[in-house]
Amino acid sequence: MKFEELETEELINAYEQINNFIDFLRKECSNNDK
Amino acid sequence: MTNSQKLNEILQKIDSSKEILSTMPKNNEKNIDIYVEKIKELEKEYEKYSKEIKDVLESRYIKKTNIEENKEISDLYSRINTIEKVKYIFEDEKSSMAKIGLDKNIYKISKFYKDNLENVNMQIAEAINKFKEVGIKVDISDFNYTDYVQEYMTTFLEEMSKNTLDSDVLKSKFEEVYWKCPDIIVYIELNIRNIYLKYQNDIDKFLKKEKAEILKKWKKTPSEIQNSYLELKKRLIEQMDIDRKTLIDMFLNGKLNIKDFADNKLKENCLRLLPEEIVQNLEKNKDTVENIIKLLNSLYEYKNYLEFKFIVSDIKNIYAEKDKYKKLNTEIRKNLQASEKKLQKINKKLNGKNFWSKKTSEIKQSPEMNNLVLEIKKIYKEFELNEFYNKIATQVNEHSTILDVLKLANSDYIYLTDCIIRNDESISAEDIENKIIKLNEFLENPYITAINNMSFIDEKDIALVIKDRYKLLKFKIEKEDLYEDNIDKLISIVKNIIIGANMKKAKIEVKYIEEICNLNKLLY
Repeated sequence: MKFEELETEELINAYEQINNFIDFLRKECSNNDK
Repeated sequence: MTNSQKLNEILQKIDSSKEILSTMPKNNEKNIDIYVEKIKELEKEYEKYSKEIKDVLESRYIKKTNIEENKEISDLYSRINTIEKVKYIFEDEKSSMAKIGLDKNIYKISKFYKDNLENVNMQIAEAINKFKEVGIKVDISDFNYTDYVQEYMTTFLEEMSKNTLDSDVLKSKFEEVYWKCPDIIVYIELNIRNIYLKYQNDIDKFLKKEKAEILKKWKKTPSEIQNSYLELKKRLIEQMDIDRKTLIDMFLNGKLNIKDFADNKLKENCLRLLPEEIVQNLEKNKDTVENIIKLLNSLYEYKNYLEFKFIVSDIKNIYAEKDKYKKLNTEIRKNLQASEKKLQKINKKLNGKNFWSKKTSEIKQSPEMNNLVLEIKKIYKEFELNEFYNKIATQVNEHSTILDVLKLANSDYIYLTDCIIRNDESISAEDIENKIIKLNEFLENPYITAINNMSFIDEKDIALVIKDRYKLLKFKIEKEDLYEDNIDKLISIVKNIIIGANMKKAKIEVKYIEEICNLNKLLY
């Protein structure tokens, strides 16, 4: 994806959403990993 | 594709990734393994996006905040520093002891003697260096107060010459001397005071010569130098107030909050201070903006005055009894010299003349000697305070202003610390230092307009004077606004109006600050 084209405000929004999703993935992983 | 569509694309991608995960079966070990594998794959993918976005945001942040400070600011700082380095020479209200800062070293030696030997040693070394800077080379023959002083200072000077004042040799020498003479630091403190009095005339002459040389070199009178100093400080403040970098840094380091500078908030503050018809034309009316700045300076001046009013009251009390202090100083000095001679006699009687052949264990003290040393300490304190009282008696008169007497108090470290402690007996050493720094800054403020025009004897109600002055200029200000508990609120309102105006001058938009503050919070 070409992030440079996004406005800073939108980029901040996307960054926060992605990081929240990464947190979710890490939790899921630790809950299910043996 | 528009930018918003791109953002939606990312959000949709996250949603569809979540959707995929939610549909995956986790009913047995094999499926769970596949699920975890998918999670790890997605984690890797999104970490890559996260890093790419972070890089873009970081480079935008750096670009937006990489602003150079106005070059005139560092130039002004350097010119101010040049004057500050020599300014003390022109402060005629100070004794030569205060001019070279020896009074501070003596005070610290007397205060720290119980808890910090390293600091005491540092203060002794600083005192010796200060004598050296004014042409007095202090050596062991000057430390002749008692044999114990000579014993410790012999090792001290040896270690000082090697730049090893933290050595074990000095520590063990202190240990050795201390158990024989627990008041050794008091003895050293008195010895340093004695050295100063011995060389006072030479130090006075040295400083007088320095002063004449600087005036000749700079081709200016002391008052012209003081005026240049104040003008440079004014210029520095003006330039810093509208400097983009300085303003932006205040938001980034949390000193200012951008929410206070939104248009509606600024208008609310302006309407709190001024009638609507004036607020509507504020940007066109330079005089009103100037008057708001003057009001802020008056408020700062009044707030500082309130903090240091106790000093003015103390000096007023001393002044009321000024006749008591006019002649006593020569008598105290004679008494001091007689007591110090007596101390030397007792010392010689106990230890003989040949100190150098003695071991520490052979040096003797007597209760008479110890009592005499404590008595001398008292006389020195009386002498120093009386010297200050004497200045009040001779230099202060009924026309002296509040600024004059505060400057006089600020010229005498021993009196000032004594006065601060009498005002607040629980104050810490650090807070005393901070208070003195604050007083110094207050007295060097180039915008002082009230206390330099008001007599310290017939103190006017400064709050009323300020209120009346600005009411005439249509400001909505009441005396209650200047009460000690309310003044900070008013200062905050006025300060924010001025900063808002300065942001406009510096072409800084609220949106821009919001963006870099958000980036700063997110990235660091």
